[in-house]
Amino acid sequence: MKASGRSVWRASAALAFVLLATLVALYARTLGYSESDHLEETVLLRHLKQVDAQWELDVLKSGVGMHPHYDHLTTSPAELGRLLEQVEAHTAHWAHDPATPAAPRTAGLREAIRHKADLIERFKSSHSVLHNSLAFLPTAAEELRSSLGRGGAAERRVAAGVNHLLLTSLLYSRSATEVRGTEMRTALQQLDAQRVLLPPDARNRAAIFGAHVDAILRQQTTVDRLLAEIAAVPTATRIDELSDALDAEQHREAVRHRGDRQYLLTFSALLAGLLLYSAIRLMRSHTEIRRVNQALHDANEHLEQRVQERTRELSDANIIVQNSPTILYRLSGEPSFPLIYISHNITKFGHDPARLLASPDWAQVLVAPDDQAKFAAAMARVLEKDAQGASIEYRLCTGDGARRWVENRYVPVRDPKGRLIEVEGIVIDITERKAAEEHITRLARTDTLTGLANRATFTERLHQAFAAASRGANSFAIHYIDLDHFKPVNDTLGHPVGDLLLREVAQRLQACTRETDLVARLGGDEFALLQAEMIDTASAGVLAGKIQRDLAQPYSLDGHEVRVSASIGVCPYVPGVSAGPDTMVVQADLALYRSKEEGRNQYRFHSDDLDREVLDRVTLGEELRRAIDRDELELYYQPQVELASGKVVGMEALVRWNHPQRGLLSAGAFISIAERAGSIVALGRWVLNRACRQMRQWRDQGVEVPVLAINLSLGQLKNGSELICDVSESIALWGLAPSDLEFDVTEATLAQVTWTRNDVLPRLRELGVRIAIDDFGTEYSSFEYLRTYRVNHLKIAQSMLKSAVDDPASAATIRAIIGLAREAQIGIIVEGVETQAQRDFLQSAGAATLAQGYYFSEPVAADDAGEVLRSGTVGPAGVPTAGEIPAQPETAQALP
Amino acid sequence: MSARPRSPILAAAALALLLGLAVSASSAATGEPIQPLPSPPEQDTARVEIGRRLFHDARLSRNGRVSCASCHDLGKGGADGRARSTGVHGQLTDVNAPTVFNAAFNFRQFWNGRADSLEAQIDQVIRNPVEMDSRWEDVVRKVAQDAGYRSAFISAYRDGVTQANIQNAIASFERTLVTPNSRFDRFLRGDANAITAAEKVGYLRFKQYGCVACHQGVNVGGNMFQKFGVMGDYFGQRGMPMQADLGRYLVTGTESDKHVFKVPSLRNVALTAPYFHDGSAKTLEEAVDVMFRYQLGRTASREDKESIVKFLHTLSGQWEATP
Repeated sequence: MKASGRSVWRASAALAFVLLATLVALYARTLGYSESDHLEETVLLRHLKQVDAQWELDVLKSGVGMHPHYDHLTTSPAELGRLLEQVEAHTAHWAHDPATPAAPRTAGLREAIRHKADLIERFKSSHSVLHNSLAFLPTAAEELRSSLGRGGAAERRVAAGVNHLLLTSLLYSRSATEVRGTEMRTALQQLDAQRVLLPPDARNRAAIFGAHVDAILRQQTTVDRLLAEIAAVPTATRIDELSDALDAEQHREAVRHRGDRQYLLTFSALLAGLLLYSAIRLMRSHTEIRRVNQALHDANEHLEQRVQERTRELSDANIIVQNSPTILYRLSGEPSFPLIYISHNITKFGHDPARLLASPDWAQVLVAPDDQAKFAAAMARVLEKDAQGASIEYRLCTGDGARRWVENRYVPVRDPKGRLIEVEGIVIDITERKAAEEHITRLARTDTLTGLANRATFTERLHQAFAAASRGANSFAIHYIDLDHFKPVNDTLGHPVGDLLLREVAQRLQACTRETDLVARLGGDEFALLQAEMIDTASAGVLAGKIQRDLAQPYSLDGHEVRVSASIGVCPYVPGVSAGPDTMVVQADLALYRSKEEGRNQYRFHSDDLDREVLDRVTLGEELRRAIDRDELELYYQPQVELASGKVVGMEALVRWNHPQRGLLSAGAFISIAERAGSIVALGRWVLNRACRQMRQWRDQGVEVPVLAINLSLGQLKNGSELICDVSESIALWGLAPSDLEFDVTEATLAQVTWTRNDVLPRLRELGVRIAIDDFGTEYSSFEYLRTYRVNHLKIAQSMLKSAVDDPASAATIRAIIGLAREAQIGIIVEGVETQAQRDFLQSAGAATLAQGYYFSEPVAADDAGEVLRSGTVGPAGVPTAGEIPAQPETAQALP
Repeated sequence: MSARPRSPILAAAALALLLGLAVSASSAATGEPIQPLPSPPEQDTARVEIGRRLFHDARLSRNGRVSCASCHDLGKGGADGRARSTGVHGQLTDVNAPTVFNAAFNFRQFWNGRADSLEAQIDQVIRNPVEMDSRWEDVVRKVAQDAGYRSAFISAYRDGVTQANIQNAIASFERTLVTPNSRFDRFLRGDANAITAAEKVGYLRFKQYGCVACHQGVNVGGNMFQKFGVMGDYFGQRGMPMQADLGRYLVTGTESDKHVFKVPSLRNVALTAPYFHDGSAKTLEEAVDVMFRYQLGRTASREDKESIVKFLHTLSGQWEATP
């Protein structure tokens, strides 16, 4: 009995110690677990991803000249490294756990960032050289040309080669095709061979010119390759992988943590049972009891104390959080969200945790009445099956009736089947931060130069608008607006004029918008607009279009007339899709980048789909279809004249639309809509027929019309066979000769039909009609077209001529084009001649050039055109002189 | 209307406008390609003071002959005015000593960018057999033997004198070596009269000729790498090849990195002759000539180059403390 009693006692004591050790170990394990850790990791990773995306966007922006220096590109890798270190610090305790693959993944991410940084360094080196060579090349060509003088055959050959190389190099920088590269290399070799025949000065300049062409060839290829490689570095994928690994690990820990709590309870119960058993045994044997009692009593007391302490602490989740200013809570995952735990330090806010736990409506007690709705909405969202952790800010009522601003971050905890078990979260007092923020924004709400709101105000309003919209208020849109080529204004006219321009832009922006909208200047020449109450996405497009047009109107600043345009990036709020205000800003920025990249002076959304959707919906497609039937269209005619004599040699037919609401619309306003709406073929047929009819009428009246020019659009060319039929029929119907008609096709259109191997132009040519390339110099300017299509005329775009008078390099480019056209025996028509100075310049350029423009005559109605044709010449005597030119001269581009 | 180009970059910018190319200096949001120096981050003054002493302390070198300040004399623009410096045993260093002023704003340290931080730079100089030729255990021992250092370190750092703390102290001091308020910075901040009309022309030329393509940002350089001789064979024509001429190749081993160097900052450049990693240009004029020939690959009038030199003089800033 005694021996067996002793052995039972020994076994009990051993069991007690084992249980005690297990309890301590379990407790230590739960100490390592913290709900707030995961939230911080998620925030870190999100931040990491955002910085990475911004870094890549900055590279792209540097590539198109939107960043004037590279400092942006050096701060991001440092920031990424710092964030990654923080992530590693959070995940360090897993590094020893073979089941957790997160550690090697951070190594992979680190390597990807390093690789990307290396590529970006190479990009900077190449891009800076490329940038310089492209900027210098026109000057290098001009210097070389003037050193050639009026030399012999060798000089002329070199001059022609230089013209060609200059243009192909500039085109190569837009689109570095293999064919173009080969063409340049061949031309470079020729130039090298011809160089030796030149006098020393010219030889030298030819070498410099050649070196820069060579640099463009090499660096453009390198820059393009590097940009592709940079985009291919899988940093974002690595971050996502890391994020997935962290989620999995978090889930594993949460499950383990719950298991640990159950084990603790079980072991505590066992221990209590053991003690009871021991007590009964001890009562049976007093002597043994006395001997053992002391030891057991000590152990018992110790254990009891431990168990109570630890059990309470553990059920309170986390002693560290307990002592920190952060309040931790758990809600049961039923729809009424009963509070099942809240940290004891809620007492700091004057609340008794026990009473809160007992209260059926704890949210009523804690959340300020004004914020109840926001809070309830947030809780309702948690119930959605795929809801993620989130954060809301609201005012918390303290026990004494005061208000404190708090941030509440929470995560839904789900079982593997996705059912909501609990909601766990933390509450942080952010009253001081809020107060500081409010103080700062009060101090600095406006931009001093323009009086507009500043970036901080904009951001604040954006956050408010976003929060309101996510609660079901009206949608809104943000517009990022950046002036194109603002810098040359500053450089040439000085900062004071630049400042005047910014002020005027600010005024125009405000004039475009409603009172409920917010216009802000973000810095430099960058503006932003918060469009409140956006009815649909199309209305954001309409507003952006209006802004773009208004800002492109000429500015009269301190005696200077200045023209700038603006690029606009639009990001509309889309319910359920827009991720957050910061993401919207990145998207608006991306849209702005797209707008710059695709040619400036336009607006873009951040995705193609959105761009198209808006364009399609914005407009007039339907109305245009009806306009043809209702006879709202009319043809105007602009004379084409010999530059020197003013003799009329042709007429260009331009379609106008007497829109019942919008007034007289020029073709630019509705052609692209007609293309999209599918009415372009009907419209084109109407124009063709009406123009031919007019020509017949003139002929019948004895008025001679040498050539009638008609614009063709892409849609017409796409329906090639129909077009050929229409043309043949019209010619036959009105008794004209094919050579009476010249069809103008813009470069942009030409590029597209070339791409699709459309053969309609050669077939038109076979009919005997003439072909002209419109807007030459604005797009892809390829001399291949000239050969392929045997065109009769090049029409030099008005925009090119405009700056030629003041700017030697543009003048050089026009001369280069004229020279080339002469070699290829192609005529030139210069569009948009407005002033005597422009006419003089063109005459000095030495070509037997044809011209059209306000200097000679604006487009006029058919009757007036008949008069012009009768008189045979037209010139400044009979038309408005340079000083009386209307403020907004109309360009003759893209009109069918 | 003249047929000769009046200003090459204006012309180029206009051409870029015409052809819709993104080649020219379009300012976008942040305006000028050169930005004023920001104020340096707040440093722990006790650590800065230790760093100041260490910076001037020759005991860091093996035989006590050379301190950081020997080659980076704060009275001589943060450099030593020699083509190559003299190290601890009287041998010449591989390259010209760059200025320590504003080094904190450089994205990498050394001409070939082999150090990512000031701390790493300090480590390499201490152990370089030509420069200081020390071993860290000796440096730590010597510093710890000095009672003044010992008590200063104990109050500024929890773990007293260690290699990392010595590096940190010197780097902290170096982070205070910034020269804000140059006349040009005042101009950038809106004081239109801070630089003369001639200097403004110089700045315009600096941008027009493309110097600014590499020398940009807050440090007017110091934020990228570039090949020396990108438009001409500098090393072939200079002769006497040295290993240091290989530049970044010595760090990466990549063929295309041969002759690639960190673009140096041009702040205080008027005070830090001679120029380039080989110290081959004795004057700013010479340096500008070399840059035109081998980096820009173009010629310019004497007048334009003089303008640029005038502009470069406006980049000299002020250092508040005394050496």
